[in-house]
Amino acid sequence: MGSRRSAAGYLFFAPALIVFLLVGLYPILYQIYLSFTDWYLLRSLTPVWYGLDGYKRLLADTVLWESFLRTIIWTVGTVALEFVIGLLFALLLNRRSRINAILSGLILLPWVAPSIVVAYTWRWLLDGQYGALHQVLYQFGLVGERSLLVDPSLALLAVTAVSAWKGAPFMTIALLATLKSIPEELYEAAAVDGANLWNQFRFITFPLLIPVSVVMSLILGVLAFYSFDLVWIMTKGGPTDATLLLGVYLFRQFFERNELSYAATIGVAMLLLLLAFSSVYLGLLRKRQTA
Amino acid sequence: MKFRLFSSLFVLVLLAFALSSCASVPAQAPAEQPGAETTDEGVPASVVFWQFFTDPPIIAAYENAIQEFETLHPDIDVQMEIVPWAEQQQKLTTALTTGALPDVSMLGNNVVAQYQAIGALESLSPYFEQWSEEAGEDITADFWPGDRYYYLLEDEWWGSPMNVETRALWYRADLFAEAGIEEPPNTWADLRDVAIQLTTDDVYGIGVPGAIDYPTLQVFTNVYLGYGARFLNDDGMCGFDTPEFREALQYYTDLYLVDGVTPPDTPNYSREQLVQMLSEGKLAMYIDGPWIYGTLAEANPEWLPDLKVALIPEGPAGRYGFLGGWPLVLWKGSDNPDAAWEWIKFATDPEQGLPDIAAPANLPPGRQSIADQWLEAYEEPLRSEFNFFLEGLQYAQPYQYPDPEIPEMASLEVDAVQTAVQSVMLGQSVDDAVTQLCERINDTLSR
Repeated sequence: MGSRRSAAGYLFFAPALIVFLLVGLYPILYQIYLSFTDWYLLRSLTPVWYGLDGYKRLLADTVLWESFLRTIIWTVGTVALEFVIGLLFALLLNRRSRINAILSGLILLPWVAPSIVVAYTWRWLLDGQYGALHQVLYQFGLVGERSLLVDPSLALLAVTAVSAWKGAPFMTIALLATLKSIPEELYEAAAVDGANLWNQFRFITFPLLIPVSVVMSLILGVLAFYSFDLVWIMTKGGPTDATLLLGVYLFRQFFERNELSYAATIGVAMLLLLLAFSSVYLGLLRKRQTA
Repeated sequence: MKFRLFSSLFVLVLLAFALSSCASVPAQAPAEQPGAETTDEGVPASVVFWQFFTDPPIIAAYENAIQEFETLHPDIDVQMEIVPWAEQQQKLTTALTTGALPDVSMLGNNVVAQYQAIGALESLSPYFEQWSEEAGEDITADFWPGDRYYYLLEDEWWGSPMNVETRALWYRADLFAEAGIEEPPNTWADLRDVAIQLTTDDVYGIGVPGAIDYPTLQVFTNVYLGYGARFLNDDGMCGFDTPEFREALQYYTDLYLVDGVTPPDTPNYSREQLVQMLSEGKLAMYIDGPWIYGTLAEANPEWLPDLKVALIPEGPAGRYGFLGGWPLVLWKGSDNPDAAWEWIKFATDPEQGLPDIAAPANLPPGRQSIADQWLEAYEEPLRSEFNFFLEGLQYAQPYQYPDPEIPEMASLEVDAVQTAVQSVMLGQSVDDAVTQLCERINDTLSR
């Protein structure tokens, strides 16, 4: 009886497994295979075994390492801004009012808007000739005549801020849900003990937000690390590589330079980096929870 | 437990091996001999055709041509699939690696060498010879001079020209008159002087692109060829490490850095933004193709009758323009190469499909013999203005003129030269930019 039920279970599970193998596992395995080959589309229509040479090339590629450093800044910056914005909005929306009920829906707009729309909108807002936001910044003397996106020293900051603007609602909703689950009694007890608002936030709210913040940061961090579309539309990795992230670099290698295998090698390296980081990150979280 | 783990791992490794083996199967079927048909008798031979335009008039022109062709050839079924220009490179790369190429497609003239080099294209030379025999003349003599650099590779033809395009100088005659300037600039030095005179608080003398995008190189090519610079040297490596190229790069970037005659966001501006500025009356001069007239006519500014066209200015080494365009190509591995060729022949024949198909793109056709016919479709005064584009085609050359197209060009043009232009506009010295540019080009050429 038990084995029959078990067989039926596997049978029900099989379609999902097959789909996963085909669309999840196969591309990853194929990418790993490609990373050990040399497939330069200007020389060959098929991959040629290359061993570890692709990885040696990767280690010696200075543009890649610069992109990696930029991607770390972009990822950490995006997540940090998303957390700050998300926390502020979540605290604001946690108060019960009619406006907040409407705002809770509206605040999701940047998150649900397609990246292409967000990117074009912000590109025009920051345009030196037509951009409304640029004009405001210009009037306050915060920028010169040219757009932030043309300035190599500020372009990364600008696209990071846009990325955070898009991702912050997701953080807001997660933090808001957690805030609403904190029992009111905790705050009442703290008030009886003489805790002011700051101390209530510091000793009750913030510690209880940490677990969800950690998980959300990991999810949003992974999304930011792999990001491509927003930067590609806004700057194409420029000006002068100032916003060249790993995702953009990988795209260029594949579609512009026809370096199919090298693009795969970069992809595998990104995957391994994220796996290692996620494992350490979640391991530390687990350790903290059990301590 | 151990056995279960071992067997799972074993299955996983087997699966990975099987998938990898599948992946290593050649993407392309072996080349078929010209003339071999594989279609069963009585079943129309199917020809899949990738067309890159999304404009309804162009699609309609192709649909009409296909209908006409299928009436003449009831044994052939042409299936047109729309692949937008912006996506064609990605789609072709993906199709190449998965073996899902069409029989016939349009192709940017700049990438023909790339696909020819890896054996993905079928040579059209045997077909052209047969066509020339039928016509009683060498049909390739009718191609525009610059197209030979794109399509005649290793002594064989790989594309049949559909459209060609070159750039000219659009200028506002009313602003010229206000500034007391009688003639459009004839040299690059004149252009600079005129642009300075025309720049006011409301209008920039000229808009030049500086973004990492095709228009930057397409406009800059006019300048560096005119200054006598060459993409490749005699050894087939980077030819830009010369005083001529440095002078050209200095000239182009000084329009932004020193003269301030082009908008502040120039390093990030491409066609999209510059055409908008032109349509809003914020530019006195702009270099582009004839197709922008449609956008300007739609915007319908009051100065539209004062919009004139002039030849691209000449440099110290002469007058050169950028030559764009696209042919139809026959992909190797086509199930019905002869049927596919019949479609290419019909669509690019100046006496059959070509005039009607080429016209809606607002660009000259790929054959010189029907250039006047193309021009006559426009009414005066536009006809006289558009004549400058035809005249310009006599000076139009590819990026790597006077060398034939190289397979690496498509990858180099995308970011190498454009990055150098943008870098200098953003503060890098010309010398450093040229050094980096040549390193990048030589690195790619040595690969």
